[in-house]
Amino acid sequence: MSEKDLVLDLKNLNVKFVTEDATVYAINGLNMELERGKAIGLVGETGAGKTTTALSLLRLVQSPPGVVECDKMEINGKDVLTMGIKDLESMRGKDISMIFQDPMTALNPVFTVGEQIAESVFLHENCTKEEANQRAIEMLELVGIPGERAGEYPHQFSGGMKQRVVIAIALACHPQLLIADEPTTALDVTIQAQVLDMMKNLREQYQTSLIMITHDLGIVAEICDEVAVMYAGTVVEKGTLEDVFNHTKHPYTEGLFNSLPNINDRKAKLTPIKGLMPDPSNLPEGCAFHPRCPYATEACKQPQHLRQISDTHYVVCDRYNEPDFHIEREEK
Amino acid sequence: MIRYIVKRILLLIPVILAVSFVVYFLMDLAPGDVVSMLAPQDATPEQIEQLKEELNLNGTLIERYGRYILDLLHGDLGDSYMQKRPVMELFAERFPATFKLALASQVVALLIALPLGITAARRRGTLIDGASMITAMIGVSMPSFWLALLLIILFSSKLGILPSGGDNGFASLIMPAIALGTSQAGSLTRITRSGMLDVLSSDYLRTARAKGVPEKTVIRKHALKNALIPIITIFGSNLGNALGGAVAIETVFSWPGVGRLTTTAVNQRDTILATGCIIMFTLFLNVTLLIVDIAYAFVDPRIKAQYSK
Repeated sequence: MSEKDLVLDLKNLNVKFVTEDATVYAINGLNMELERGKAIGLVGETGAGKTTTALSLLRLVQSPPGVVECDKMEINGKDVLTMGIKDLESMRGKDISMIFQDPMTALNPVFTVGEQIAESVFLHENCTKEEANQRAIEMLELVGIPGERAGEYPHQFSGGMKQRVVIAIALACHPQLLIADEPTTALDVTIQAQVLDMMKNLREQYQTSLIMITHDLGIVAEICDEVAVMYAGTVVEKGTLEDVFNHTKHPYTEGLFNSLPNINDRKAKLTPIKGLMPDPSNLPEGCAFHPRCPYATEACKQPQHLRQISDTHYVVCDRYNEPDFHIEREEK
Repeated sequence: MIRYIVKRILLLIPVILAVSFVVYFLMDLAPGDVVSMLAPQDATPEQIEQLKEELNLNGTLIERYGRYILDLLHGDLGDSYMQKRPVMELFAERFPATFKLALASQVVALLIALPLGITAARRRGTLIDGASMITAMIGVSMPSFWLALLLIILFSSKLGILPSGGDNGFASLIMPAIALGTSQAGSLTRITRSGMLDVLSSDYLRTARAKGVPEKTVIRKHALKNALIPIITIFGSNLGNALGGAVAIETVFSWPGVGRLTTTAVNQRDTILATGCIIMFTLFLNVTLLIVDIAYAFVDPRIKAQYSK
């Protein structure tokens, strides 16, 4: 395999939360690679471990109770696992930054938005307070907020504008890797489109790599180059947009697509995935999806293996050991 | 904002009238009076009448109170019966000592409460948290005069490094400030802890950490400023109360503050001096609370926005 320019190289990530009552296995053996400038969509139901994955990359999983174990975690060529707290602090916000899910609570209510953007700049760029403030104003204008509003407080902004401020903070130091954790979930649809457009433009402008965490497959199709489908703390299918959307392999991915409304057949009933996400403190043996999977057999209760379908397409499902196994969803 | 301040100051007028009324009448109800204290044992009724005349004490209670209020409205707190000097002058003489002690004790309280409360909140549920809360509990429960006596025994009697009383420079301020401050640190610690607990789990601290803000700054800047409202509320009322003088501490340390002036006035049935002192106390307490209210606006912009409505 040729040397790829990886901005993120993550091997066998395991995160568990150990409490007195139970041990919650949030992430189980997750691998992820991301090439510079590419965008990957991290898709899955609520509770699949998407946000925990992101927080692990920033080393911001609360410990205790969180325990993060990993074979390899390199961001921008730096080994994040062995980093001291000083190096971590200088990495956060500079090499890697994150847009948080809920803009209503992600901003500190007692500081002006300008201060909150400038703080990041001041910490990471060798500059004076004035230069940082100037940059904060530029960032605000970049995300479509008039610069003179830098002196205002979060409560004076609407939800959509707060999300723009959160994005401005995350992008203030032109990070190599940006994690966007459901950046549009808290916004109404018209604002969603604006924010997505803006992120797309900014990404092209700064060549930022992106991990887009979402449960909205539409957003993935619009923004990402690759998709990783997560279930119960692990990636079950991974590939390019084309691979995953048109040559779906994993039964869970199929279930996700089937539960989407079909615009061509508006009378069709939605087919949700039966059952619920398993309790992460008590995961099923073998494939975690097998209790809900329509194709499950006894063999699915054994540990599953990563299978390479093509150069880019991977799936974790041992049913493909049977040569003629296929899911119902048609290839497109 | 200005309108709010003016309104608060105007509201002080009825408060002061009510306070003066209550104190003046209670003093009159108390057994014994200043005339019998001042008059010689074998005074004739004429001499007593004359003394009453001199002290402006003739007429009914209502008449006397009426005269007092009229003077008060002219800004005159009257003359002390016993010391024959203007109340304002006596109060002004004693107030600097009280002010000094009040400030010093609040500094002590803050120095104990902030680190203890913040640490307890950050290490919630651990041994450190438990130990801090027990310390705070002891601080609240321990009578300040008792701590004062212990301090005197240790530092004055045994070690002989600090003066046991009086107001003679910084060294004499240390023990009274610690005795008074420690007892107030208890409640302040608990408020700091609960205020910080509310804030510590908030999303905006995670945002700050994700920006690469060092943990120290996250706590001291981002978290503390949000937890400050309840802390300054308790701090303000503690300070306001301390400005009225701490009778027990002032007595133990022979501290020449207004607390002892007030108790002496009450004991001697010096109605004018007692009422005057308590009016001044009311004034200081309310001004402190007003300053606290104004401080809210500078800490939290959302409160500022409400004032301007």
